[in-house]
Amino acid sequence: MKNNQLEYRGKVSSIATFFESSQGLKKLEVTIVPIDSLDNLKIGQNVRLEVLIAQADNVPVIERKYLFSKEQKHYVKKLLDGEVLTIPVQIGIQNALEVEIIHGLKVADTVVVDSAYRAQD
Amino acid sequence: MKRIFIFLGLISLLLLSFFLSVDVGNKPSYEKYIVQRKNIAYLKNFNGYIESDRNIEISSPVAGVLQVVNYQKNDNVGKGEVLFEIDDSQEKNLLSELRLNEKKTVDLIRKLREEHADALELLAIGGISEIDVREILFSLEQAQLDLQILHSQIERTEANIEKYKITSAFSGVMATVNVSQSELVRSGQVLGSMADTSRKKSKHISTNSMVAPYRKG
Repeated sequence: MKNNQLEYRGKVSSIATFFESSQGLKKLEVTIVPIDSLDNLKIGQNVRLEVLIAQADNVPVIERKYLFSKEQKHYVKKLLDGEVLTIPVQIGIQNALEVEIIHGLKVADTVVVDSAYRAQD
Repeated sequence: MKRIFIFLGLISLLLLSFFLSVDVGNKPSYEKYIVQRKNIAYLKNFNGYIESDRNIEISSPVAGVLQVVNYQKNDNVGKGEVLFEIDDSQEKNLLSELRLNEKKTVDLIRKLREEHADALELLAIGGISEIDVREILFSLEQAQLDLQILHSQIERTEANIEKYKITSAFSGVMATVNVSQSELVRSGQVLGSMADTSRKKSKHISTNSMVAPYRKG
């Protein structure tokens, strides 16, 4: 949770679904119970929530621009003995900058991308 | 001669385009990245708000006229402070009456004890019949029983009077106040609600399309 410059840690404690008839939408109410004290925050105050959706530690990672997708499959261009090979990879967690590689590459492999790179996703 | 120049010009153009293509092929322009082990996290941003983890409705335990409303919406309230006071004059009148009866009964018991003691002395010298002594004893026992009943009635009435003052169970904020002074309230009627400011949580409401990212914990 963030308010101004202050940050507070919390944990998702409940997820309730409800139907809002006025909008005809099924909605979710997510409750986050704080780990840190919220003494500085008042009831009714708005906060910015940064929710950790997924996390993995010490896993093979490449920058996102080295990955490209075609027909719902993911590929990289791997540099092997001076040759550039296109190989399929299985990806895991991804964020705006990086992608976890589950299969297809190992640590210390070199991947390449054309300098005139264009996002293909 | 002219044809020779045209021929040579074409040859030079062909050679130039060949060398240019070879040049580009020799200089593949790639950016490299070496796969490395790292920690990776996927974070998503949402807007939320702070809410109390503990909201309770305050109901009136008794019926009566609301005499005092001490707090309004958004007022801070300390633990044990009186929130509402309901007219308790009837209960107080009843209590006065019961205490008066208690005093009379205590006096009666004292008197009957003395009478009983005297009667026992008289019985020893044959100045009174045994039946008369038993009657005095019966009256004494009856008065003692009455006193016990009065004590329990007083206790109950005192406890009832406490109910006419509605206090806060914890420190917090008055979230709602549904009644006003001089209003007649029913037993069980919700007078307002309180939010515990020491127990806060954050809430976020999203449309169903955002269901996927959330997982408890």
